[in-house]
Amino acid sequence: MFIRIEPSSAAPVYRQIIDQIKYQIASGVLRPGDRLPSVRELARRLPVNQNTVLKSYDLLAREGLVSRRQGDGTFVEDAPPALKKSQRIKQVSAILAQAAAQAVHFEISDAELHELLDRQIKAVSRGGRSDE
Amino acid sequence: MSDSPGVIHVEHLRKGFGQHEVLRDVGLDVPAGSIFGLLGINGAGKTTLIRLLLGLIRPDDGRCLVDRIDPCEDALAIRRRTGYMAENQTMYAWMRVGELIEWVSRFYPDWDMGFADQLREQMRLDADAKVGALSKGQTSRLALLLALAHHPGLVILDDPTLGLDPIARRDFLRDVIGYLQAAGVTVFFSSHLLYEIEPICDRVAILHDGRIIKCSPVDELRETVKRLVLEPAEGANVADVPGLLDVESRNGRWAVTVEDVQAARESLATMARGEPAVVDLNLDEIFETYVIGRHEVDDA
Amino acid sequence: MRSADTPVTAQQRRAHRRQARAALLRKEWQEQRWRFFLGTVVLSGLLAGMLRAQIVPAGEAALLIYWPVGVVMVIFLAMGPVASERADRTWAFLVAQPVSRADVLLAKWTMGMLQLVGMMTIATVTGLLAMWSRGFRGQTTVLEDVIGDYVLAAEDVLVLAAGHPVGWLCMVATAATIALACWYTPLFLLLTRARNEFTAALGGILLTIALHAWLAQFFVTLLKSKLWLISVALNPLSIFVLAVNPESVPWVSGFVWVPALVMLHVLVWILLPLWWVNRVGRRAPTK
Repeated sequence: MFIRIEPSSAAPVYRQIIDQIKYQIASGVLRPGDRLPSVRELARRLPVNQNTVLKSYDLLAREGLVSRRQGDGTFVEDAPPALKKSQRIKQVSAILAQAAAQAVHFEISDAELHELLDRQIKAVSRGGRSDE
Repeated sequence: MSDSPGVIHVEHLRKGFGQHEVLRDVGLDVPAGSIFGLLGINGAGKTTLIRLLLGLIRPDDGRCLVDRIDPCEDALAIRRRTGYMAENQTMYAWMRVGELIEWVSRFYPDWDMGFADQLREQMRLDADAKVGALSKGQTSRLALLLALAHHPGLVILDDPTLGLDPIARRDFLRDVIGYLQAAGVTVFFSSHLLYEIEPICDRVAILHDGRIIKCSPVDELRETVKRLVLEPAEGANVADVPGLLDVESRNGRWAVTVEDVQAARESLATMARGEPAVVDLNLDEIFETYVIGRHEVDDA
Repeated sequence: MRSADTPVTAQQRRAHRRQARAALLRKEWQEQRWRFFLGTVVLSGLLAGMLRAQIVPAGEAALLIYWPVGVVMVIFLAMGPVASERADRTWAFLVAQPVSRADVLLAKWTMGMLQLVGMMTIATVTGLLAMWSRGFRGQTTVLEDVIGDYVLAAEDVLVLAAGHPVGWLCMVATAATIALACWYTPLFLLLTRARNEFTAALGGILLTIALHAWLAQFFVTLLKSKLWLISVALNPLSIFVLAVNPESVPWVSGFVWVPALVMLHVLVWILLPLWWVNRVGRRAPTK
């Protein structure tokens, strides 16, 4: 599992970890039943404070994306996300709002933006990310 | 803040050299098992504070306790149970790595030579190599080894990554997480490379102008210190903003950095024309606003 | 890991301290032994050389070597230990260890003293060998001439020495060693302030000149003032002067006074400074 922390980013480290794991689950790089690296191992690898990794894993567990089994480790879950549909929609809306604002700022037309979104959806279901 | 004093407890510490007062009124607590970052610009007094904690110099006023021991009373006891890596440490260049380790071990009753050998191998240090012939990265790994091999409960690192290349720096931080945090050792880390220290630390304290101007968990700092970009309404006075850290004015818009975004929300809402945009800051930027924040609007 | 609560017995503490001091001494030896070897070779070579060549009478040879060269050796030994560590920047590393300033300085002082005594001993032995290689026959008369030059009246000690050149040389060597040790100690402590070896050497030379200036009053105001006499009697080198010229201070002659003066010097110049180092060195400095 490849995770990269951007040190001078304004996004908190735990958020970066969560986002990257979520993306890997969504795009199929991490499949249900896969074992995530232990807190210690991931902390040492990045390197990042163990409590930060712990926080990320806990938040992911709370959202139902992973489950933490005593002694065994942390595993990707098959279960549907724990959030209600309305909450999920709200989160995605927020991300899309940012993207829309950015597009306006970059003077990208509506049609172009729609096309970009379609392309990304296709790429995710294919198991990768389109960087064009 | 817990009631019990931390592994390191400092209150009202004052220290000056001649006319120059380096530390005016320093107080902090380091919780056991945490990684605590001391931030400050060069010359802020980080090294002075560390030397006071280890009893290498005496304070003018105030006191500190390290593991419940006062360094003015029994500095040697503190040094025996604390691992210490000084800034830009020069060790005996004529000794061999093995010799140096053996020599240092004599000063520590709790020294674990088996563990030292294990560390030496993991750090890829040749026992027969002369200390003077080691690279900077190897030297700092050796210094870390010397600080760890006696199983201290507290490790004090004074700008340990100074002069290291980026690879060596990451390796060093990995060692700190892997060897120290994993074992529950309290780590007191002083550095001015903020972007690096942030992912590692639980808590940070900013030392500036002889005082600790901010001390909080890293997450909390990021969640509460925010920058808001807004268009000021008529008669808006930036002095009314609670917890103001910095204000910058450009093209009629203000970028206001506040200490607690929740507390300042109301007053900022009244002051702004429209909804202020919230900007997340990284630790470098947060540190900058604390240290060189402007509190008045000067029209650019 | 031992917490603040686990008691350490006094016996364990003493054992730890002994271990630490042994480690310090070993390091000092490894670092500074080149000074010992160099000094021994120079001192022994010069002394043996002069005694064998007999360019000057044995007495003068002894004086010439033990005094100026001896004093240079003292400066050489005193300037080394602390200043070189400060210059190499290993001093900070050393004092950051769990060891008191006092123990650090005492270890350095001890090694310097051992080296000084060792140097003088080996030099004296080689000197004796040199004298023996020439046969002692010619020496006695030579010594009598020398004694005649330097001594106004024969003293008990010197009457003995006149017939026993070996004894005489040993006595002078002992007196010289004591005198040099009494100068080495305060000089070593004063030079701990120096930031590098050059400054230390300079400081050592200046202080030694001052020491001699103090002593020189001795010859000028021989019996003029009791106070001056007493003050000069405190000068570390006066032991050595007395050994070759006891008549210079008539009231400090004889077997009773000499040991008393020696004890006084050892007390003032060696024991007192060491006691002071021990006391002050237990607490952290302010800088």
